[in-house]
Amino acid sequence: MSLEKVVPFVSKGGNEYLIEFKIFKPGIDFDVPIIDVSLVLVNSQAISVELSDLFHLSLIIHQYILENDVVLYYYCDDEEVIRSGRHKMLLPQEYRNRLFGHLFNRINSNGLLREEIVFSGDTNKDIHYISLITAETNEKILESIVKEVYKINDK
Amino acid sequence: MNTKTLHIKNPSKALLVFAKKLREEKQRNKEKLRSEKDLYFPQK
Repeated sequence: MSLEKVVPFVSKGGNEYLIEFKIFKPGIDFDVPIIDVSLVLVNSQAISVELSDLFHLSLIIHQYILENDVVLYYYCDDEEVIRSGRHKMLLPQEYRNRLFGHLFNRINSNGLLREEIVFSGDTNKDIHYISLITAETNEKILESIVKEVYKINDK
Repeated sequence: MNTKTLHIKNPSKALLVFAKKLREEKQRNKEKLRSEKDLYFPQK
């Protein structure tokens, strides 16, 4: 089965999303593939998204991890996103990071590990959020990735 | 799910350049997906 695929999803309000799973090549080989997951709203019909839609989106991602021995990589980009109430103060990338973590905490994700990586630079553009999710059996691989991040930071 | 956090404050220039590349690649991916939306949601 190919590791790369695109899953279309339509929310209850009619919003159309594409979820892409794509092999990510960071320039270093690890024992399992790193898969970049992207979630894109391609057609907006409703301003708000229901919690059940977000839950469904997280289930699609969760199912992919269960079916494939990979490390899932999610970069939280800084493209504007609708944030309501107390979330208006958050940067778009910070909001995406919280949402992603929150959703995975709501589903039955026992047996999975998440490594949240945050870089805090001086400007908003230099604040980055990354999530890595994989099975607990791949804990050593997550540790290897973290070591590589430290190596880059030490350059 | 067990979550760990690695927080690097005042990242090096090399790390910021690396992160910028990740952001650019993500933006390219999203633009490509938007351009292909009709493949997955054919217009009625």
